[in-house]
Amino acid sequence: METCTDDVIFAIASFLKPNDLVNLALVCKRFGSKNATSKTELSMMEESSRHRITIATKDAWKNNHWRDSDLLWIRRDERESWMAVHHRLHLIQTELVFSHVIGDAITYVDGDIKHIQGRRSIGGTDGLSVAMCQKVMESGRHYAEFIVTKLGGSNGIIAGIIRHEDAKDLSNRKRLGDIIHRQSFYLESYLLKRGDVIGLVLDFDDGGELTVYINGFFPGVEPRRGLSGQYCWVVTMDHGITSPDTENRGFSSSIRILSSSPI
Amino acid sequence: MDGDDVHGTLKLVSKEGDTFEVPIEIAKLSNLVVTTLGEEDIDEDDDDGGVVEIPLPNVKATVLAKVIEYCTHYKMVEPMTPITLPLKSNRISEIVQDWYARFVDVDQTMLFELVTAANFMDIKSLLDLTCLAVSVLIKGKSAEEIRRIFNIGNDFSPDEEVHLRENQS
Repeated sequence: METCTDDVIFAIASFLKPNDLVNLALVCKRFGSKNATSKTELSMMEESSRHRITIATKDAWKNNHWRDSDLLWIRRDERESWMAVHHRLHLIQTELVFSHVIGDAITYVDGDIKHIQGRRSIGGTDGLSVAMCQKVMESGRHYAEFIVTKLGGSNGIIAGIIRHEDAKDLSNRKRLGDIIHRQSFYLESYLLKRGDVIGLVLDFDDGGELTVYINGFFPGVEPRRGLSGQYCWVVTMDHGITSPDTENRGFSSSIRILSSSPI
Repeated sequence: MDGDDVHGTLKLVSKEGDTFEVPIEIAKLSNLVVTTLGEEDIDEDDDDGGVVEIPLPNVKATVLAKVIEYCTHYKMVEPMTPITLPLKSNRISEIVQDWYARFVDVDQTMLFELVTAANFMDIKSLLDLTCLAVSVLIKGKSAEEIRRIFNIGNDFSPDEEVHLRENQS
């Protein structure tokens, strides 16, 4: 392997998962140390991860027209390695995550792309903020479970689905709010407590029905019926009327993805 | 010679000087061959009857025979399914057809010689397949295990290794 050219090492690395790249970086200086002669001065394994992120970002823009600000998971803190960003990319390719955060009133908790929190902003936003998952569903039966990790400062949590096409129409986020309310469930704060599990089941085999459960029990909310087309899971928080005063700033409820049917 | 003459043959010459006569259509899976044919200016009266000889000083005869076996199967039987990312499986046989999975089920020395040959001869699909096979050997292994498998020396000082582990975690 030592006799392989850099091009060949990059080709081998392109098939490795982030954890394996980390181990390969630890093998020898050639793979793991900063390369002063390269343009980026990154190690070979860091360069490999950076290349993978660049391709994935270009694909996301080209295929789905997402804005840079909606793809928070690709943002790299200057203190973190490219392999850490690559790890998030790998998660998106293998597990259900909040791949898109639209608007500035929702953010990730400690960079965890399976965990979001509501955030009040001064003067409000230009529409609803939502967190959307990457999985596109159009047939069969699907489920997702979200655990409430913090409850407070918001009137309620909204969980449900959004049409894939509507989600991409980011030019009108006020309209997006209307759409989400039609295909989602508004769970008022008094119905929930920390640790509760919100379960959603989308069944296209049964006439296109979306049902919500809390801790496995049906909360008496009418299912949404007659759904057809391509949908994604979506979660948002209702902060009520946003205020410019400082008392209402800060984080509100937070939710983490617990489990899901395969992506 | 016309570079588009797909019915003729050419000769690939190994590191040891062994000659392999190969149909041009098959040999053109190699971009090195395509480029060489494009540049070749054959004298109609040369002793070899116009058959192009392409020297491959980096490729042993045993390896070249395997490369020709690959190219022949690819062109005459079934092209390999392109390998796309992210990989849909950890098993090579679930990513490409069985024949191609068996093709890279060789000892490590031969595998790396095939990687080197595919890179030198610029055969992208073979380079993808052989690099995938090497990556399978690496998957799930610690740095120590990778060093042992590939006989790579550890040139990190203990301090450097600790520092790198901290940065990558």
